[in-house]
Amino acid sequence: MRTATKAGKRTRGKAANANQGDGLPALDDVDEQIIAALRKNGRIANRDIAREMGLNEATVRTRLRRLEDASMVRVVAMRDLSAMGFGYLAPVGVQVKGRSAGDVGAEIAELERVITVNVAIGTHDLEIQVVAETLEEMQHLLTGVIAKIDGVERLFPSLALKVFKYNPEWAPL
Amino acid sequence: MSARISLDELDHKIIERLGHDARVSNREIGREFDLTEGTIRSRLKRLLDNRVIRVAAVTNANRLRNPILAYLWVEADSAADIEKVAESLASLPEIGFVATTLGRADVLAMTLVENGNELTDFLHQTIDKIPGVRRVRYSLGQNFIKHDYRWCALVD
Repeated sequence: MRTATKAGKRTRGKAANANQGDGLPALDDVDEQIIAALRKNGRIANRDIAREMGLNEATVRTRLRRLEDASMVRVVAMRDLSAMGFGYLAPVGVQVKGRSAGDVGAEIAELERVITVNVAIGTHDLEIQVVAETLEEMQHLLTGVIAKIDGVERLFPSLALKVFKYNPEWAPL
Repeated sequence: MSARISLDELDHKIIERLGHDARVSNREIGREFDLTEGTIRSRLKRLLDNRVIRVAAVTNANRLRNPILAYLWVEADSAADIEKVAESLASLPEIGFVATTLGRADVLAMTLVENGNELTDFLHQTIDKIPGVRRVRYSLGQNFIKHDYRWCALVD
């Protein structure tokens, strides 16, 4: 979720150490610049990236394929929630009892309308985000579906009034 | 939020296809769907121009040593400050999600950090200095069970 430049710097600064343990290949400046270009516009042609960076197209193509094959980067279409009809977004804290947070989270994660599930440290055991097309559907999902999952003790919902920014740049791939 | 345009089955198919791999060429999508490249190109242009989708690179969070998604529940000094606080938070490059909310706080912001020190620094050096921020509570999402990166909000 950080910007290209900042994330690039952070990753680059730690690359030497970070790669020893986790087996992910290191990113060099060229990789970082390709990623930065694709964060701005995922449909930009390899040829245009190459021209901007003063490389040849084959280099860009090979680099990008390597990044994708190693699951370091994916270029995808992200769908706008409201344009897809989901006018309601609820960040919900979940308090779990009698079952592990991970198990309950995994069951909640099976629901299509739940777009994120995190095991959390803090007041609640899980932080989830639920989307719905109508308030009625949201009510049904929270009270009728999620509340009835085994181990869900209490829900602490909030509802987004206006989304100012939602731009995922990092994700488990 | 973006204006609604109606989407038909083909739009949904194109969006679904690009949700897996958006580097595929229009010609290739056309071949898969038995349509011309021009049809795909114009459909895609309409989806992009109307801000239904955005095509961009997502980086693997596993590259971070120990990714923690910090949920910052922000309380504003007064109700009149809420919108300004949300705008200030949204302008920070470190923050990927900002919304004004009903319920648990006035504003929810999310940021990805690698450790507690980084979060502490960010809270003290950056967030606390934003005018109108009264108090920040936070929860830390440690284990990503699900994170559907194909959703976003295309706001101006």
